[in-house]
Amino acid sequence: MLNILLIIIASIFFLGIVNRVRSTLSGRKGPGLVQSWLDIYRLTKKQAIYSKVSSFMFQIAPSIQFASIICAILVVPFGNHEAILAFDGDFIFFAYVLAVGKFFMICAALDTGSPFEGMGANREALYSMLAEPAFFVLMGSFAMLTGHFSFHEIFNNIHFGSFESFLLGGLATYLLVQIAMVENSRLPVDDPKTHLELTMVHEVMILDTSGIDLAMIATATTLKFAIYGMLITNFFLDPTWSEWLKIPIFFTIQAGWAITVALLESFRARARMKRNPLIIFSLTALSILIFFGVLIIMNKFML
Amino acid sequence: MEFTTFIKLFIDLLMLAVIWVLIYLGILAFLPGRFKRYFSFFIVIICSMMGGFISYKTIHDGYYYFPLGNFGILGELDLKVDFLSAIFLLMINLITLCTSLYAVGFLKKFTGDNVALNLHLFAFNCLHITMLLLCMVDNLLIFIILWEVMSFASFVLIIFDFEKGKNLKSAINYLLQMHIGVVFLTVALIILEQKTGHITFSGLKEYFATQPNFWMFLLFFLGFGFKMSFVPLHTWAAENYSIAPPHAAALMSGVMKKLGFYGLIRVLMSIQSDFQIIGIFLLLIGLLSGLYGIISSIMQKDLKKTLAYSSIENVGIISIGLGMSFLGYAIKDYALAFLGMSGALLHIFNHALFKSLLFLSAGDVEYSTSTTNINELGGLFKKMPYTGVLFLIGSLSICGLPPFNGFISEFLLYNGIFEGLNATNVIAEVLLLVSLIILSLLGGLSIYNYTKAFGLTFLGTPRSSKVTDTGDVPWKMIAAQAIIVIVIISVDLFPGIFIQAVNKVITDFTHQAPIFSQKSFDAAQNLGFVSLVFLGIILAVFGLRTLLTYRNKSSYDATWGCGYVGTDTNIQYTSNSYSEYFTKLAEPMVSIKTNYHPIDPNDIFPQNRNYEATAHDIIQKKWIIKPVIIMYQIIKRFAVIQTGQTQYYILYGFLFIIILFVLTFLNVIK
Repeated sequence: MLNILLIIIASIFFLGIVNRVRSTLSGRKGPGLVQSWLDIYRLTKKQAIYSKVSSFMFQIAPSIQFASIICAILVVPFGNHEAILAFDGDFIFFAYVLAVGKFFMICAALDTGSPFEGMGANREALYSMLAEPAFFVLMGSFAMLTGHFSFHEIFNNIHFGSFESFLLGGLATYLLVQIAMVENSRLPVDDPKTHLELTMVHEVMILDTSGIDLAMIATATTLKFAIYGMLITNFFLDPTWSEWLKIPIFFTIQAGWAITVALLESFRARARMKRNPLIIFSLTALSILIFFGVLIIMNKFML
Repeated sequence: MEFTTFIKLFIDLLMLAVIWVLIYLGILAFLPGRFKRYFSFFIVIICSMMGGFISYKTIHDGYYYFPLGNFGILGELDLKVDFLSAIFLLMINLITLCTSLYAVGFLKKFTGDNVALNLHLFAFNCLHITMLLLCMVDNLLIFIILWEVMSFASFVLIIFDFEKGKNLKSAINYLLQMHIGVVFLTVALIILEQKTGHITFSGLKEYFATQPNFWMFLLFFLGFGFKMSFVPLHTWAAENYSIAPPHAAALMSGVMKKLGFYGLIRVLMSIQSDFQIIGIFLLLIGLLSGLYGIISSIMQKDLKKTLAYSSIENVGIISIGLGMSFLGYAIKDYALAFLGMSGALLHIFNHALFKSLLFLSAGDVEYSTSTTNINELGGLFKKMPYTGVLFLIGSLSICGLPPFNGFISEFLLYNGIFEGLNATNVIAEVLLLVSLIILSLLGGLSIYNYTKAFGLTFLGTPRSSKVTDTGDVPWKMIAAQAIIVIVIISVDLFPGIFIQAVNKVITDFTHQAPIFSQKSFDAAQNLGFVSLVFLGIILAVFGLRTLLTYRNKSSYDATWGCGYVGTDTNIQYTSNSYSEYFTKLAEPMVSIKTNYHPIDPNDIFPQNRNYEATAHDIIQKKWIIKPVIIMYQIIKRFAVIQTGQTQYYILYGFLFIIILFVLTFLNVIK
């Protein structure tokens, strides 16, 4: 239960930190830390307006996406705290259950009959499909390194001892950050603050969503950030440490992760649409590098 | 077996079959048009009951042996049914029953057309019976004869709409390719008879024990490969599935194709050496088929062609599983071997379920709107809610998404790969890495493909007038699909039962330690529970949402269009524009032919213009049609001698005699 609680607490402040850092960097005062959740609360009170074109699919999709995020939280462990649903191959389930949410959101976007949302759906489908292999190869490499294949056992058995393995840990963290940026539709593939429909990816998909559905989508986004933050944290936790050490580390890493997102968004321009597939494919290439790195560490592959 | 006894046996069998067929045809021909399809359905039920009884006996006793001597025929030709056959029998019966029930509804429109209907229903029953028998015979010669009957029956099913010349042409293409496959099987049979004297499946082991395994395997693979439509043997598939009536397409893609795997697995189970090369071969051809199938599938704008190419992708996934399994045997990693095989077997069953479901619901669309072109559809979810939900379930399961059945088999394959990565062989590891990348890419691409197929067909606004006045289809058609959906959900919620069945097949053949069997069973059992949790969470979230929005009244308004509120359905995304971005990425593997006349600068008042883009199968174009054209042009040169005048032919005969005479005179021929 601790991991769920931690993810929820982290998600409350996550977007607040991102926004605050970003506004500080651009010389503004910025909103409060929990402003994003106040917005979500306001949205739940609002009346929903649906497109006349849309069908029941449009109304059920945000709920299914939200459910898929909750289900994903249930399989993510925290240090030696096993997740509620922990089994062999749970990270396969993790990736696929997130894909269910994506499937329904894409369908909801197509349901409005809007050319903008069709465009966004098309891009989202393509980008998330291209990002899939990187995650699988990354987890596969660590499954190979540790000889286990569930989140909990992999994270408990990773020991970064030698220089090479630290390098590997660094690469893996970088890769996870990049994957999380793609999955959450952030820079460099997508910019949530863009104002033109034609250049949006994720934002354009939810143009017609309103009320509690929009609230659920916003909550899902922050939760997703916190989930990936938890995954990154797990790389750095030693199972022998006590909770009093681990929980502060968790929050430090979450805050660091939020600041990284803010820094990336402040100082980096969005890539051109044409280049996006290339960027995402390069993540897979990086994950293959990790795979061969693991082979070298395990002395299976000589250079 | 002695040749004469065989002939005797064959004639006896033939006589028996002929009598039954005559009785059947007599009844079918004299029934009034509207009862014909019910009669066919009745025959399917009877045959399914017999098949079901045999598979029940097999599952109960472990082995079923039925000597045909009871009919006064020599005992060599026995029906030998083991667990593998039993699973296939169950699959065939289930899907045939559903498609037959569907056909009862679908063929209602055609009750007036007696000739076509008689032929069609006869072929349908014939296909069912031959498929059942195929899974029971041990004798390879009978197997090949039945195989031919099966090909021909499916050919008749395809040409239901034979008045269109194009349909007949592509169906003949199918028949031709099936015969090329049979040539390979026959060669394999002759070699078997030469070396061992047996032509039975059980005699294969004897051959493989002494002779090189790979070449024999390759012959069988090519023989069955046409039916299974591996790339590059797939070129008949898309066109024929799109012209066949939906129940025929569902039966062919769901079940008939799988009988190729039945034969292949029987061969694979007897193989004794060359594991590594066979494993790598299966793995690579599976990866190629998977990737090529899904990329071509995305390019299609016809709903049924999309499904046909996606079948090729799934054949690839099954083959990846088989390849992993053999790689596992080669490097002595039995966990990989076991999980790969059980994933492949379960995927065969799963694919039969969801692919036939998808073809049937695409058939619903065809029935109501008389088109399957995605660019003319749209907004069907509101008009045909049942069909929409059924297609959605089919799409989710074929994408391998929880909580549906496709996830279970893909999960087993992933598990196998991760098990295999712990092995020590670097070649195997690199191969598994490639499979991992492609398998996950296939998962992602399937989502891309099926959001296109489902989203553009069922969601949004209608793209043409064909959709505007349609309703849902008759209840028989819906009921047929609902049965399949029930099985799909039961596979996901109680995967343990199905995994155990699949595992029993593997332990039957390999006598392996049940430790791996327990492993895959546990993994699957977890998935059933997790899926239930996921479903529960969805219900809870949606319930909570309904509760929270109970007071807030929602309203309906136009879709946001930057202030533009006109209702133009042409601005929506189409199948072509949805796949355009991807087309650029997949450039070398696709060829798009566009048909558009650009506006001339001197044209002051341009007329309406059409833009048409069609995807072509690049393998068909470059490797099949081009060589055939070249061959044709070479052969055409010889047409000079064929003048059509009798005098010339007499002259040729005369010249031939003179040449013979001269050659004999010169002592060239003795």
